[in-house]
Amino acid sequence: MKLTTITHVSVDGVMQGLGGPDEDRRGGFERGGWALPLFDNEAETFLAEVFRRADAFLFGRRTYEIFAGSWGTGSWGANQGNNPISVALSTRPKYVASTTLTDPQWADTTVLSGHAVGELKAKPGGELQVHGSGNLVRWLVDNHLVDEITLLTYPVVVGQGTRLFPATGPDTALDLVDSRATPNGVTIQVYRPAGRPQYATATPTPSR
Amino acid sequence: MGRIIATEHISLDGVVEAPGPGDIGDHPHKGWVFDFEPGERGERYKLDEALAAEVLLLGRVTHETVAAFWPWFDGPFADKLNAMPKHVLSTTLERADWTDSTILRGDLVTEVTRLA
Repeated sequence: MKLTTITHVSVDGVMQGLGGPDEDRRGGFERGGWALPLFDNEAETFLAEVFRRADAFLFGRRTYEIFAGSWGTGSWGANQGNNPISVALSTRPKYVASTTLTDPQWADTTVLSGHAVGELKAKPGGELQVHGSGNLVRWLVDNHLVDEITLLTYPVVVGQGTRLFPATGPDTALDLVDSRATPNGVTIQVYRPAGRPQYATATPTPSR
Repeated sequence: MGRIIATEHISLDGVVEAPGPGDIGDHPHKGWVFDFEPGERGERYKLDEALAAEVLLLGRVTHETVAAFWPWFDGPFADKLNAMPKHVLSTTLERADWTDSTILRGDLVTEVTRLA
């Protein structure tokens, strides 16, 4: 399957607690809810299209629990029956990469080990989407399992909280395949990992 | 009151250190910016940005890098950078030899507010 990741980040790379103050307070995080006020119709339309084309979802344990506690309860929003995100999440298979989760409550959920993620990806056809799930995304990128990285970057510096990419980690070259901006200034970039980066070795001569 | 514009080369994971190969420090991948061809639009953007500016405000480390580099070059971008007044914020720098450079040693907020 084609493995794609979709992550909402601030300009300083924070991905923790984007939806609300109590979504994720780990590490004393007090600035939850930074993305939602900036989430406009165009971002919503883009995200709805992304969810619509998903054939299956893969989550880390933490994001799975957040999603299961919101989208999975049927209590999110007035018209959740018509919401493309809700429809996709409730009708497609869900996989959770976890060594601790044993009894997932959300229907059509399978718990996987890391090794099994590789096997799932090796199946032919379809798109396997990862939303949120920072630890999992880092692991997938480090193991070269990601085909496409979509970032929705919100015009805000949050100044605390977990970053998508750690201060020190493996390096990756990326090809930009799509880029756009929404009216509220959310920039959406789609990248394809392209192996190790190359680094300049000689001092360049400015052409100007 | 003028505007202060911060302009940075930054990687996706937020690294701003050592974008140029001659930059100070021991970053293992100095010069990573030069893996990307900015193209005509990229070149134009940086040139327009420089031409629209009146003053360069620099920290000590970046100043040391660029002051050792641009005086050796000419052309519209280099000429503008070399000619415009520079202000370097530093409590340790003893002299700044790049054309029209001033060292700002006082309280950072006061000095920058006076500039702006």
